[in-house]
Amino acid sequence: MDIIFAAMLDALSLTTFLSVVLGVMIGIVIGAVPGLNAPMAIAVAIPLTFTMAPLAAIGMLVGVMKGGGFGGAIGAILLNTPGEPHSAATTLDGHPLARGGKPRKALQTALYSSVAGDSCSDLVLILLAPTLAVFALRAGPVELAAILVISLTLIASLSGRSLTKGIFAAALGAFLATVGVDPETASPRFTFGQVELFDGLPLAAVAIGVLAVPEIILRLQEGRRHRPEATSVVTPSEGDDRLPFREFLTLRRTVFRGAGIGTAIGALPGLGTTLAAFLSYAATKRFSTAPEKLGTGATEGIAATESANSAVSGANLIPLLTLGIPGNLTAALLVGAFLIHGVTPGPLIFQRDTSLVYGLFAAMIMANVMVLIIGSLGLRVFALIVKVPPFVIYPIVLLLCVVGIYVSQGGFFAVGVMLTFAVLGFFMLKLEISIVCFIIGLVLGPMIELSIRQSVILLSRNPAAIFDHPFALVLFAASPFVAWLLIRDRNRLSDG
Amino acid sequence: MKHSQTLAFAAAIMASAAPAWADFPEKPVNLVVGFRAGGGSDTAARILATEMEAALGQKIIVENRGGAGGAVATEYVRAQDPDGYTIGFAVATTFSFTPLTGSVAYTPEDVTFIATTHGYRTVMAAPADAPFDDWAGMLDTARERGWINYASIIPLDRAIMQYVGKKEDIAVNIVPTRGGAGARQAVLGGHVDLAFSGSNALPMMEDGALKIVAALNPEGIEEHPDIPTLDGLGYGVSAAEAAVFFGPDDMDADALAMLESALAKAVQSDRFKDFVNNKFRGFETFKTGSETAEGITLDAEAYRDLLDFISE
Repeated sequence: MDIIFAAMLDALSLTTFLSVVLGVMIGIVIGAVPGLNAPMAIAVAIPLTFTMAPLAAIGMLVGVMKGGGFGGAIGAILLNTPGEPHSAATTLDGHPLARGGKPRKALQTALYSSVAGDSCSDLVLILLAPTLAVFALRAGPVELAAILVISLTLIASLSGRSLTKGIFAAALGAFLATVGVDPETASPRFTFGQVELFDGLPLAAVAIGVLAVPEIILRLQEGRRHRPEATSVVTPSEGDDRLPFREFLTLRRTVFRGAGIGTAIGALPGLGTTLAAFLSYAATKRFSTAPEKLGTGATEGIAATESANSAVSGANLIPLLTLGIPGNLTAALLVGAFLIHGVTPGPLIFQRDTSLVYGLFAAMIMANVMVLIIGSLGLRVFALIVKVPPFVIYPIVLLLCVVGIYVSQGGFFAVGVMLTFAVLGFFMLKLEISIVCFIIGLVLGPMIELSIRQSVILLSRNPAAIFDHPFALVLFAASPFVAWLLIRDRNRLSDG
Repeated sequence: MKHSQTLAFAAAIMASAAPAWADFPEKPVNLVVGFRAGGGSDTAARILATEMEAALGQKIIVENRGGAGGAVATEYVRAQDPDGYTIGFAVATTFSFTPLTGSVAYTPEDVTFIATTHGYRTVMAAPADAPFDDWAGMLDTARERGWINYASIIPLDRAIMQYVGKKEDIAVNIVPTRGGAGARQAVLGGHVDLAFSGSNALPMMEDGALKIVAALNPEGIEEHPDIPTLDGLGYGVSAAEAAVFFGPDDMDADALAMLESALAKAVQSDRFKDFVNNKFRGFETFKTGSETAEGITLDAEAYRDLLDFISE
């Protein structure tokens, strides 16, 4: 116990504190820039930490990770330009609320939910990491396949007006996700000889192309039409553009549900933030007292997605620290940085690197507090973005998207991918085909393919072994029922 | 005024005293890393880049073009001007194995090798509670049960296990995984009997979280001499993986010589040695450009035989 406190006190040194603060600021800024995202921010920050003391370096990277998580919400809410696929979930309610004249309220909801979700999952990490890691390991390919298959029912609650169009969009996404090298035979599929496509379509380039660029074009069109009053399209009314803490407390069930979903998904490596954010959104819609408000600018929707995707980042460290398994790209970058600074992930990490691990925990708590403080201070400034006339801000945003994708996703090829998908996104918007379902197909498609192919190979010599996976069998059996339930919900909603 | 004149004079003397090829580099050098930012390969490249800056007296601009195990960066670099100002960083199998799969347009002859800077170590790992402790035990388990489940990461380790399966006449059920993380998860959770892994399995083994039954790199694992190599087990196959610097075909000879000697100096730095030995847990090795080219030709021949054997 002494050593734990010593380590935590050590983390409170001025250097560590300043590096956490610096990290949080870098994260928020890079995360907020359209076209850039949290993994990109970490990749940029890692070389900066080479010469720092281990604890300061890790503190800074944790700060970047957490700051980047909140920063991603800023672009999604204010400009409808998510930097990562999971932020697409936050645009669903965040952007309508901001356009409706309450950008600060939307950002505040995102900030508080994000910090709350993050803190919950950090707490679970600090208290239960080793136990949970062992439990999570028992989920193999068969279990992951089952979780992913039941997650497909998400399409039913997110597909907007037409379920058929939603299924079509998801299928299109899943089809495009087959581009790349076949995971089993390593032979290229639909790559047309382009080496750049061997690892699949660059996901962030596709997401920004399909989600952000058509939005920019639409806003610019509007700006052309009503240029005189363009400046007054959004007029934040200072009076009620705030989220009183009392009102945030009414969202506590949503936030806790999101934190729970995010923590569970984060502790299971290989599922990822996008799934957590959308699952939490769908669950909130299912259990909300006013489900019809979701999608029109409900704070509940923002709270659901932001609490879940932030909770993933803390929980991702559970398999990372104790097993050396990174759950997503951000975690994969962190494990590299940990190695450089002499932290070797493994089951004995709590004994071997005690002071660093507890220092890391202290830095995480510190980073949460700093995100809250820096984020609150910045809110006023960020919210001003909506006051900038569209014909000024959106060309800048488009330029940032192009530059960001060029830098983070590998040159002009990725920019070309982004622009191609912008055309697709524009038509999908006009034809009212759910872009969110497209993203779900694109993200879940490859995971489902891999886990099912793995399961089939594992069970091929001994099919009866499927009965060793009762949890997976229950989920598979429940999938049609959940789908039916969600379809019934949507029919009821559209009747009423 | 006088001061600057003296400086200019000194500079002129130094310039004339240096050998002719010291003209390179006159401007910053671009280093295209074939892996995404933040990983072990990228870190090594960045450490070497800072050390090279000291030796060359010019900035080195590191750019990541990850994808397809270094093939994306190779395709990019080989299309650049061979003046030495654009060089690449990939691994030996990018050139010795990937072209054999028929999915890329280049061959090892399409680039100029500058140097090999350090080696990678790869192993076969098994769950801590596996019913066997060594390679022979693994083969026995496979024979008794009729098959073993094996988590593969890249086409090369897949080919090697197919080769082993054919030689030993055992059924190897090859489960594809995406990246080291997927294979790690499968072996630690006991979902497979055996998995391919990089050197990050070594600290896990030292913690008792998994067993290591064989090494795939021909050098073996120095600090654990009891781990046999596949070569030592009598298969005559191995995965020789190493970090390789390269440039476009027909690279300027002076530039090549400068870069090669800068790398030879860079690998001697304490910071790089500490990274390779203690953090990355690879091994120190340095090969010149021509030695690298020879090694890659030999490796490619061995891999071709391996692929021919398994497709017979």
